[in-house]
Amino acid sequence: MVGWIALFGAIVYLDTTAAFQFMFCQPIIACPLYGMIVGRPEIGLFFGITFQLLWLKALPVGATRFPEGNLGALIATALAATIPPTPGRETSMLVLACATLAGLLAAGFGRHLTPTVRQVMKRFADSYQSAVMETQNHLSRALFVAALSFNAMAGAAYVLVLYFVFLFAMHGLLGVSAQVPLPTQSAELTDELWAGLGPALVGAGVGIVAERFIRKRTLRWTIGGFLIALVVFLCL
Amino acid sequence: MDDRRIFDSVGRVPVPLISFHLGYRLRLAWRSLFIQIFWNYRTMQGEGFLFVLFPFLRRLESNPERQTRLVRLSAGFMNTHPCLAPLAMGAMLRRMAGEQELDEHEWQTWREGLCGPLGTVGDTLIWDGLKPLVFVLATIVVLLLGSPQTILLFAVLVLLLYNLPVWGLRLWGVKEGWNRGREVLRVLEKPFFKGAKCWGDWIGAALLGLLLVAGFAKSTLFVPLAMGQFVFGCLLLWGCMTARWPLISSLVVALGFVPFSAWLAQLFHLGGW
Repeated sequence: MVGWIALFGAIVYLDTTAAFQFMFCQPIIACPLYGMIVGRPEIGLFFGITFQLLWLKALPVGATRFPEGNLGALIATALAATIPPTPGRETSMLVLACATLAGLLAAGFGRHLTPTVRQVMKRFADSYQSAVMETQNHLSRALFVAALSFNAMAGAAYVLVLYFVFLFAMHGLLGVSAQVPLPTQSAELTDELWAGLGPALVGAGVGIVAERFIRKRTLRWTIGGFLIALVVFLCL
Repeated sequence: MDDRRIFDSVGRVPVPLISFHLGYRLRLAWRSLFIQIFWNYRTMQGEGFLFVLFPFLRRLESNPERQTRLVRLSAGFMNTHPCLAPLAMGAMLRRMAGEQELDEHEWQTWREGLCGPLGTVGDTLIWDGLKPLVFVLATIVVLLLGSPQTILLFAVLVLLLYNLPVWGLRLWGVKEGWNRGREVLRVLEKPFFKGAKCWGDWIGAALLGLLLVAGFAKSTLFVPLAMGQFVFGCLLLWGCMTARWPLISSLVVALGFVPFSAWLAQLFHLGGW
């Protein structure tokens, strides 16, 4: 499982800004696929849906610092998927809530990741330019591969370090680990309190989308879309 | 026709598009996926542009001294939107192929003049347009139809939905940049670029209406407490974003509200508001 976390961390980080930008990095793609690979697709879907809309406003534009929401979503999914479900129940809502908090914090700390990587890239860039000027083709190719690998390793390392830190913290707080699920009694006590986690996070995402799209001139489109969807939903 | 003759045949006269054929366009568009690999705070995408253009420069100029000069012209500060960068690259190649003596100062001014317009249009069109639309739509679909059995199919479809227009834009960008050369920015006067934002906002607003219903339908139907938490989350983040509050802090507050509201409901025996 650790290998998959590192691989997904590397790909998601590369795809976010450094290379490709196919949008494989988006939580709604990466989290369910990770969940499917480690045998917990429902966890992947949960975090894919809840985290996807939260980062729509955080644009990786130019030199701006942005939260690493994609890596945060992956860390949350990996944490929740690692801890086995409480016997006789589904995955504990408390575990999902802790993983969500870990994902949000990881996204927040991630604001410093890309600027740090970009500071290092200045050296790579200078060397690459010199190599190209001196027509040292092998060296320039090697520098390109090194820069690509450095970016990938930065993503993988970030995800792995925070995954283990938060797993350790959850072990200390809840007594859970990769082999030990949340005890049934604790799950019973807390599941009701955290039952609204999904709706609240989806609602938060909808609020972010609303801030982006609701304007005076677009309001009738929102109302129209809402009414059409409502009619279709009621008819079905 | 070998590579060198393709470029040599350009000269100063307009050339038919076929001389910068699909193979080259594909290669340039593919390499443009890596323009941010060397992104740094001094030259930003400068070395990325050099990485993309270098193989073409080698074919363009065999004289080592002149090649070094072209390399120098290709490097240096540059920053634009990755999906519209091929427009700038096509135009740069066209100028390097067609103009015998490029004035270095004029070249740098022209090159840096491309950054702002292409960056702004690209950000508006892709980051603030296509991307939110595709992924809001994807979220709606997953909310209503998502299941563990359809994950792979769904991922492939969403990636195609996003990447097909983006790749179309990249390939078109190379072609248009090559065709227009120095006047490449005139391409942004096309009605498509002016209308796209408006259409994007309308479609996004309509999708928001669908998303509201999908969110209710999936997560809160017939459970009043959950409905309250959905609405509260929505209003809280809308308010926080409008007031420009930090995103992560707002989300942590929303997260903390979940058990608090459930505890209140239990305390007052509301049993679900």
